Amino acid sequence: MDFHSQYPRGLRPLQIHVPLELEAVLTTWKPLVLLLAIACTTEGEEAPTACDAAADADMDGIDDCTEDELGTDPAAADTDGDGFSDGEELDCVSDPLDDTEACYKCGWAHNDPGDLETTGSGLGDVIADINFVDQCGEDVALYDFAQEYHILFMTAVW
Amino acid sequence: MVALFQGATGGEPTPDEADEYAEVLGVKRRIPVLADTKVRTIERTPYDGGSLPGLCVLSPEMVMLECYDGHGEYEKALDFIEADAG
Repeated sequence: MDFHSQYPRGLRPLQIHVPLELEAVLTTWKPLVLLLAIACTTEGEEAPTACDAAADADMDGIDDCTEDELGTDPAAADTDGDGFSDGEELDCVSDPLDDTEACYKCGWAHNDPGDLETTGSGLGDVIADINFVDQCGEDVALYDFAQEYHILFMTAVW
Repeated sequence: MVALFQGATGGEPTPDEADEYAEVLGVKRRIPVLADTKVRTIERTPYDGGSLPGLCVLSPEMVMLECYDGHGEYEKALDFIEADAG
């Protein structure tokens, strides 16, 4: 049965004439075209590497994925080289990327929020960031005791 | 926290005196015992050093909420914190 017989006048399907050559190209080359398209869109982008949350390559107490998030070096236990491992610094609330900040020997946390400023010396004022020497012989800043209530007990040794 | 503004000889306190005072108090490293080697606490708080000890309640934002002087005021300071913290 020929085409005209199969489709009586008025009911013929829409015919799109595809040259045989193009059809051959699409059939043969389509997979390659797709591969090229993928390659072009990802060109210049590094393939993401999955971190292993169970791994701690430098054994500093922080897993490698968390180190990625923090910006610390997963291959170096003490990223900022201040003598305290990255894990120790997190525990004592010290910045593991700042070699000017390290854990206090007595164990106090670095709680200074960074935006405190003294407003005076009277009631209702923000106290000044007084520097002291603690019982471990270390310089400490009063603002590192922020974020908690304190009773500042002032007295003399005698 | 304890801040020493005067040493045993009446002058500035030394770091060793802070360590010794912590031993005397029996606190070791549980609370900060601080030598105010530049005597700033007298200048920077309402406490004038006249009647020992002086106490100032500090809020988490380091605001001096209330100050007292003389013995027996510690309980008042604790009550104040409890009230302020809600």
